[in-house]
Amino acid sequence: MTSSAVSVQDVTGGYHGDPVIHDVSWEVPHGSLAAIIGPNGGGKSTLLKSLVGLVKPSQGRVFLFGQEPEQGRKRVAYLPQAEEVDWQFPISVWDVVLQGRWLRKGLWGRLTREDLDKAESALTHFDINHLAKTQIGSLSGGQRQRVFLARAVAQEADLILLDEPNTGLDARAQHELADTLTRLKEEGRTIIVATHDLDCLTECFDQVLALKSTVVAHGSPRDVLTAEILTALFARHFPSLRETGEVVIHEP
Amino acid sequence: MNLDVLVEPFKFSFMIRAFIGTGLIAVIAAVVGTFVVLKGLAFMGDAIAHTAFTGSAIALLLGLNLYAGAMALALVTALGVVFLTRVSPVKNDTALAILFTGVFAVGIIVLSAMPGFAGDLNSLLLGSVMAIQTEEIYLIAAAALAIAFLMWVFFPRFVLVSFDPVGAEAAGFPVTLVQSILLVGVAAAIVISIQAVGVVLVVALLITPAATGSLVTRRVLPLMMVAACVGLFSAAAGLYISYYLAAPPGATIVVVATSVFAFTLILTRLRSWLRRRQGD
Repeated sequence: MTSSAVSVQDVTGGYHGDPVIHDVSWEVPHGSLAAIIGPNGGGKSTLLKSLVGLVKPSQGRVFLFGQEPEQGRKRVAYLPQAEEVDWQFPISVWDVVLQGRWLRKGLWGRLTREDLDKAESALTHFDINHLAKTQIGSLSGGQRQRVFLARAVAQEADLILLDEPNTGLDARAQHELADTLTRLKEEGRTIIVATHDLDCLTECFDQVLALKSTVVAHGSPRDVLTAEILTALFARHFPSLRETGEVVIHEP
Repeated sequence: MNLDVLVEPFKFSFMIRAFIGTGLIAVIAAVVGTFVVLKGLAFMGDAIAHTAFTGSAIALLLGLNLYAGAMALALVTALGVVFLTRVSPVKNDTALAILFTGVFAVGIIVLSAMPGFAGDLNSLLLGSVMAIQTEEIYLIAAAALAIAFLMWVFFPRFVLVSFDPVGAEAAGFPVTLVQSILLVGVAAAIVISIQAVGVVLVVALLITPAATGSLVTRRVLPLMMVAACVGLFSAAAGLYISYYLAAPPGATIVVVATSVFAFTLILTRLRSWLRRRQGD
């Protein structure tokens, strides 16, 4: 048992008996903004899914807020990769955000006036009231992220997991997303982002887990984003951000 | 228009039963079919229909109720699919194809083992709208009420697990249970619909009205309502046409539904084209 928001203890897991991650251990304190970085196929999404029981670990244990995932995940919002969502689905922004309340109702609960107010408040929180009637697929990538985050707020999630949220976003939308995540963290939520995009890691994340099937390193961005660790993670070529803001391609 | 043309089929009690039964079936199929279309489950609908055929054949062999036999195997298929999607390393559609063709083949063998099976085979494969009995109307009405109850209670949950099953499951929502309830509804709608259009065309009744709805609206509830209207219109128009042209009613209903879809598609394309021209 632990008081961390997320505690991963020696987890090995994967799909159909083939492990993707091995012996992963990691602690994420309450109210932190953490990143899981690594190459494609390195197990970032698998680890995220292991946290909420979408992938069952073949070995090791996961605790969410000191509870087993089955209990703890009621406080979790998971934002899947953009490609996993059917953006042509005939659903409006309002109905997506309202799903945050339905998630809390289980099989039989009905919505009350309070639920509608909380969904409305979540729209306001992200300044997307004017989009309420818009079909989700008509929005830009950044707006779609805000809608899903509004759903997480409507759900009153304490832990928000985002799988590759920067995919398909332009630079401005990425920075807006970083600001939004920082704001959510400041409100007391714990945020974990799986990403292969190294931009903004140093400026907005408290913690970074470098994952390549197993843990290569974890700690503050300054400790993890070293040439040695990034080389171990991405082999020969990887982009990195200098303190001046310049993106450079590392050549070992 | 001469009113007699509309009224004449209702002089026959079997036609009245056909209109009521098929109308209810068309609405049930369209409502449930909305989720089949949204989830891209047309192939699974086809699979359930084919295994329901085998269930009917076995029931026929054992002297049991055809609906009960069809429903039993339809449920096994529907819930088997939920199980397969979780455990099978084979792709879902591959596993489903293996399952349903195997079960369908068993049905053909069972029917061919019975003397005088051709008539039963024909009605199972192509439907027998004109043979709907009063007791079957009650059964169809009960199914309609059950589907209406399911939608009243679970509609937003069906939308949730159709749109974002991964996010819902991650938050501890009972996705598998809700999907299973939905698939039981799909299985029931298919079994009931086989009476109207038969195994071969049942997917059309499920899919085509909902697909038509998806052309004209981008919200789930209005889509479902449009689908129900298209299904009802197709059933009524199909029965009238088949009555006057002595055409097979099940096939005629499907042809009408397909024509409505094609007409709507052309209209929506034309509207988009005109809007683009006005925008230039």
